[in-house]
Amino acid sequence: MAQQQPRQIDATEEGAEAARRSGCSPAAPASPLEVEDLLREILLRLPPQPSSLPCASAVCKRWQHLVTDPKFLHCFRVHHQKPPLLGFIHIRIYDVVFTPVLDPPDRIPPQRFDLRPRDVESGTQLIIGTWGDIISGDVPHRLVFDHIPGFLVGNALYWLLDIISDGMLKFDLDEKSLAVINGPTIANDVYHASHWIIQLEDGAVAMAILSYTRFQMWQMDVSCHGVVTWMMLKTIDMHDIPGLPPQIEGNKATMKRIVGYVEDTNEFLLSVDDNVYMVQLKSM
Amino acid sequence: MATREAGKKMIMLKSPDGMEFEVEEAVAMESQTIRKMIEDDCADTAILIPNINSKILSRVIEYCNKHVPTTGATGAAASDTVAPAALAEDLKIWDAEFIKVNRATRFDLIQAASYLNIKGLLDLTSQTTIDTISDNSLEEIRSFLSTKNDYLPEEEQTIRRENQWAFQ
Repeated sequence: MAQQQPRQIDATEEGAEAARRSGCSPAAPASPLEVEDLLREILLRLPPQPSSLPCASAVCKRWQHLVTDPKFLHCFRVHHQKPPLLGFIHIRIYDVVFTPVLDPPDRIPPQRFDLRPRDVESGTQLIIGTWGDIISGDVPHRLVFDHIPGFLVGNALYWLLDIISDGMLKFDLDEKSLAVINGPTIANDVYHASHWIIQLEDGAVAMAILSYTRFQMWQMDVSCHGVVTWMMLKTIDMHDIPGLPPQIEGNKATMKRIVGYVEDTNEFLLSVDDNVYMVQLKSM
Repeated sequence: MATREAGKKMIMLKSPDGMEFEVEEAVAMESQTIRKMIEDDCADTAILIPNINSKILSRVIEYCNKHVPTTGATGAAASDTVAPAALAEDLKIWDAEFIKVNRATRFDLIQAASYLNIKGLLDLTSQTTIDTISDNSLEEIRSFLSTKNDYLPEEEQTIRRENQWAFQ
């Protein structure tokens, strides 16, 4: 065997390619920090704490370029698997507050999570924390503040307006624009119903409306001219759903409300008579 | 075919500075790069490992020798009599000793681990590098890693201001 000609490792192998790019040789090995692939391997092992990457960004431009690359960030999350608990988001009556639980320098200030609609004297403004400019527009309707955050569907955030036919406030994240989208026209509108925005499996925006004991699903269609129309997908009588209580008397909307939607499992959380029920959308 | 023990196939690895290392095939296959070659049926020849000198190659082989039984890739029986947890602990201690090398050697080992595609060694060497810098200031990191700060003072100020909380 010793007489045989040694076989060189195929230089197209990934590692060999990286080594070749670095121009390294036994005589003058380049630092792995000079080789993009190796530097990435090293920086992937930075601790998952939130201050790690901002600090690495400040080392030099090359490091900043690398650690802000979406592909790197994806690998970083995969490598660390379990992300650290940064804090918790507490919903108060009129606003949403982030409370950090980590110690400095990993203590992210609450302002970094300030993403919510606010009423101001001149109308409604969307304030996006310290991340960018303030985008504002006049909204002649009241927003639903009832512990409901904004809904992210596709590349837009939606907030429900108080009256269903008034629709919702849409913030387009690409165009950075605000617009009011009228909702579907339903009988028995207004205060005795509860509504929610969801994303359908095909990516379309839909509005679920619970006007006990009737549950409706409307799909939003946008024409090529930007005209919005609503198409009713289904109407369900809640009596047909086993396990839910019989009709409740009284008009208090809070007694029968949609309180959540679990996208992964297509389940609505319905609050009926002080109990919360989980209902499969597909079973409706 | 060279054999050292019955049933154990041997592979010859050559460094560019002329040293030859005869290793068990299972040990050599800790390197995914070499494994691929063997699986592609190129295993009957000696393998020249370019870019990795004999000093580093011998350390890499030492690492693979230590790590081969626990991977189970070859069905090696050495770990059968030892509890997995104890074995893992033993390996951890061994790794910690193994990586007590100077910076230049560690960087060479990172390159070798990447080149030969040995994940465990790449983890160990890269993580150790990060651990040595993670508690240091920016200036210390730059100096330790010989990385040049190419930000203008105002650019660096902006970056620090944007994420002020992270620099406290």
